Amino acid sequence: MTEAELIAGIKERQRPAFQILVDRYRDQVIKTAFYFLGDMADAEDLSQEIFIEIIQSIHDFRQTSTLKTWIYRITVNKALNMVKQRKRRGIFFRIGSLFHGDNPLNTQDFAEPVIQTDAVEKQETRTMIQKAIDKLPENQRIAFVLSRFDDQPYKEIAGIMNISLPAVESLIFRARQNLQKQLAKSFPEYKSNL
Amino acid sequence: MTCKDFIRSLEERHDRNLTEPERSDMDRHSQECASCRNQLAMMEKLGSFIADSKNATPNPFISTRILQRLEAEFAFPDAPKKSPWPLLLKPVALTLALAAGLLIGTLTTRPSSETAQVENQDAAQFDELKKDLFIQEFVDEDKKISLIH
Ligand SMILES: [Zn+2]
Repeated sequence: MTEAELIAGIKERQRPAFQILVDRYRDQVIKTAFYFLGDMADAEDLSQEIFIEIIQSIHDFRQTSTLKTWIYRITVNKALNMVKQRKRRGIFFRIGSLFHGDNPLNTQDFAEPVIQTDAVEKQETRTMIQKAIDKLPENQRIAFVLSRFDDQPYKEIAGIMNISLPAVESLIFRARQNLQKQLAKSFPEYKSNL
Repeated sequence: MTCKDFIRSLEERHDRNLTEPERSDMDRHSQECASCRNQLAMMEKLGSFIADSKNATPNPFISTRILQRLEAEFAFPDAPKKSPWPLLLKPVALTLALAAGLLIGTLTTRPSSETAQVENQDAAQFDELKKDLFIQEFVDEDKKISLIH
């Protein structure tokens, strides 16, 4: 099924088109949501809302970009909204399971106390890094996450964010600088003379 | 290499492959400079955080969940209709339907004039059967007792 056929099928609310839509874009949607949220269960829940949004607003899709780019835009917006909602509810950041059914802090699973400490330390490090990323200004965060986590080329990021290529480069450069400063605060043992 | 050069190379290494001289400059500088060594260690922590995140896996049944949600939201006309009976209630419903069928069958197949007579016969046969069972129980008990002794 071509992209045009898929879009037509979604517009006509055909079940096979929905199935193909989910099969083709499920991983992209869930992974990107996860990179912003840091919690797989939340990303999976949000993915359902994202697919509903895609179907509901398919008539607004002008096809000036690819379907993939447009779906990225919806995913990023939805994920950032969820992060904002969490902040409003007082959950500044959240680190949950990396894998489905995995709980890194479930120390009962570990026989050796040394490994327990390692798991807790690793979790603390993850929390600190996620917190530092969450503190980046929104545009810097989007560009950085799409580039470093999602491996999207700068050109694609420019399309998703609807900005120029030099603007993407600048955002990522500033994101890296801010992140280094932020991490230096979070890990005083690594404090440099910057 | 100055600290500033080191940090610039640290940032640039994600966008392009550093040249061999650049890499050896970085190695040399990080051996001499504790501050840049720390920067490098911190960036490696970030790198492993990103690598862990990339390896994260969603629930293998997530597609089914998403499609079920879409079905509920958009109610496809061609979607298969779901039974209102939850799976566990199905055998119970089946038994009740069977019992009702038997009852209706019994009441409708016999003419009403014969019903009382047949009911009396049935009761008598049932009494006989009970007697047999009662005696059998005693016989079984006796056998058990004789076996024990
Ligand atoms: Zn240095």
